Amino acid sequence: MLRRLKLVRRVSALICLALLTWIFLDPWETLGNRFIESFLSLQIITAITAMAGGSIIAVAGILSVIALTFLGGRIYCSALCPLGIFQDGILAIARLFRKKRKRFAHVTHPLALQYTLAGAMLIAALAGNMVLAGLLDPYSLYGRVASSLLQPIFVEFVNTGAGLLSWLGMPLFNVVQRHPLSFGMIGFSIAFTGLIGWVTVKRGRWFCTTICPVGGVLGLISKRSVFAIQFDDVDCKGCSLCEKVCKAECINFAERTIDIESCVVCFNCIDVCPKDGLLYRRNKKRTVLDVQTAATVMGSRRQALVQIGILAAATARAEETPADTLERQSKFDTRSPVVPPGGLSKTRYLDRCIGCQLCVSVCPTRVLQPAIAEFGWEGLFQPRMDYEKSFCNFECILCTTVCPTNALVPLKQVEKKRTQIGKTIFVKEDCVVVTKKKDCGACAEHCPTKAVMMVKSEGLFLPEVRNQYCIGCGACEFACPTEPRKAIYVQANAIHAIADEPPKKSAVPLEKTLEEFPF
Amino acid sequence: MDRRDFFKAAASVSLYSTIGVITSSKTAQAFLAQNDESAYDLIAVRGGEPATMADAAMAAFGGMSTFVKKGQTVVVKPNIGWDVEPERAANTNPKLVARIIEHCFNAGATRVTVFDNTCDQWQKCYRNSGIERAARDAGAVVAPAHTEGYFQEVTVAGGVVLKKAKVHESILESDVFINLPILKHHGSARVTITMKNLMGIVWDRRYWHRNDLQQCIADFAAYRKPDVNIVDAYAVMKENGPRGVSAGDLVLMKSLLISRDMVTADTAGAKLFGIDPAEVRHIRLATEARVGRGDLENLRIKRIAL
Repeated sequence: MLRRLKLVRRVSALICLALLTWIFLDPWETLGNRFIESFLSLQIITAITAMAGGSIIAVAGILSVIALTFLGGRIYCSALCPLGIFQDGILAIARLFRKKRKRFAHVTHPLALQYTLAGAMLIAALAGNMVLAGLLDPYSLYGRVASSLLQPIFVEFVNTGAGLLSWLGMPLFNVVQRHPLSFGMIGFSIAFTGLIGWVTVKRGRWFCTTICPVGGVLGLISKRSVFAIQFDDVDCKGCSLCEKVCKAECINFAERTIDIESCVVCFNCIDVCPKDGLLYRRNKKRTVLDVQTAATVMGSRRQALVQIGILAAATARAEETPADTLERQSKFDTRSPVVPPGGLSKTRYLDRCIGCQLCVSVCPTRVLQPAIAEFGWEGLFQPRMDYEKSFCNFECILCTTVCPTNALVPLKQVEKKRTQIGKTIFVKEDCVVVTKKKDCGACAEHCPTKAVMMVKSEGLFLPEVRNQYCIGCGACEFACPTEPRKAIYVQANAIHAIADEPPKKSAVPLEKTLEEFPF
Repeated sequence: MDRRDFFKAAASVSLYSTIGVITSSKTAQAFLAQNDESAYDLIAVRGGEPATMADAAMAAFGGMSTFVKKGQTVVVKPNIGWDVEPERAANTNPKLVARIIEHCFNAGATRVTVFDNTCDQWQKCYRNSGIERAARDAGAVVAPAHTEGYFQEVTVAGGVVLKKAKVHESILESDVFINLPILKHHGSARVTITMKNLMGIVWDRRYWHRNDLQQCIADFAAYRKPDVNIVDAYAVMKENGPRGVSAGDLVLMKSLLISRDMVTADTAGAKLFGIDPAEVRHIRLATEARVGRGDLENLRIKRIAL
């Protein structure tokens, strides 16, 4: 019965990773928002951020994971964490190439480091800086890989398949739009995958037992867990195979102990044990810590607190956010980036976005692109609207509904169509109508609210901007054909505003009875 | 046979053979065709639903088989440019699109392709316009046009500004080209009818906007003339075109125009819209370049009221 635990873990892990990856890859909007929201509430760091914003589902998710950990240890790490399961996949693939089986060995985990990082991340986040969280959160790290590497590959795969099926006369599904790529993000993802791959192959779940803040917190809870993996001294044969397969390097065979706070509950040990030397059972020692262990833990905690203090001081200083440029200072200046709808304000958005790239992945026009330096260093990987690459679809609210941290709050369609995320600036001297004295009108063509409309001017038609109707969707900027600079562009609103509803005639169209044709 | 009989016989033979030669010649056929039902320059229908008006207009032309022969492939190019629902009349009416496709298959077409290089996000346009579903249900192949790979470069003969363009492969591969625009207001081009609709078959529209839009539209109209142009004028967007802001922009005109000639269709369409065709520069340029005929007063027009 215990032997099956590893199989159960593997199956549920596979399903979980597949679902989570599909959330990023899905080009056909097959999953409902409720499902995505509920499923992602199990990812701790994003759920905590969302909870800070008042999300009830996030609270439910966090409580579920805490309860699960309290019950059975760091089950999350083997069955629910996308980065953890990704690492297990890397190990499985590595096994195919290895001649000799990898042997792990126990190490004393530097818990002080893990707790320090978790504490520093928390303090920085409370101060409004999410960069550390973004670089340590296992869900966001995996999200970037899924969004920038897996999704484009998947799109090519789907399009080849669609083309083939079409050629065979069975057009089962449409080709999918190939989106503009973010090379900065691709570079990061390749580097990160290489790094995590190398570390995993050499040291198993090193990231999970040394760095990951989620692991640190769950590890602390699991020390008191109801069930845990423990040695049964009676049945143990003494072969020490368990220590050799423990990818969390937490089994100390010589002393017949298991570092519960590092154990990721993968059941490799139980699976390999020839007898019942290891059991998953009621944690007998959970309320009693021997003096030596207590001292080690307290020592690491004290160490951690000191290090956190230093880091907190350092982070607190770096909080100057640059003022928004309100004027176009020169024709080549870098403008303040536009925050996606639902962000409500730049400060609020930067405070909460962890850069997981989920909104980027679901955006149907792919106007959302990860910032590298545009928001300043503290906005690394946080998505912005890139109107050179695309524009925001008028009717769409997807990004606002999927955001797991509520950096983008869910908006209804009617709300989104009046959320002004930026205003339009028209540069007359760059416009084709002025420079070439010929009609163009690309900007007004695309404007969904006709905030930009064409007005008669010396025999031609010139754009006129009425910003009270503008929602900053960027359709005009994207459509503008002038080179090298656009003659019309969106300037970010530091705080999102509400646009007026464009003037509409009555909904009932006039019936013009045609007496005769005018020709 | 005596001389008189011989002369009579020779005269008859000459007369009949001359008549035969004349009637079989193209000019004669054209002359005769002027009185033939299927050779109207423009057919204008009013007062019905889009599908019924299409039926009536097609019948007046002698049926779709006038344009589509058995075994041919057809490409139908409606306006699918915008991500709005059919009631907003920014895209061609899906029921009209379906009916035209049905006519093509009835005339013996082996394959009908439908596409447009859209302005809004293409999958949403195809879906929310209702055209993808209507076309598929009618048996057409709905082709994507959102990446450059589907387009091939062609030269535009006689282009003043536009010398070459990348055209969608289905235009190049199909035997028959049916242009199926919707009549509406356009902020800078004034109106968008048949010639403007051709912008959806090329890849790089920005080039046109940047380099004298009206001239490019007129230039490209000479590249490949559609075999027939059908203008949806059922609900006409009178302002805020080409995307429109709400259904309040529309006027119900319940009309349909069919012509082989884009300039004719555009001239009539402009008048129907309520603007002087001479004020629409691309129509004026195309007329002057003799891409087609805009002198409606000299053309054979059939007006049908349902």
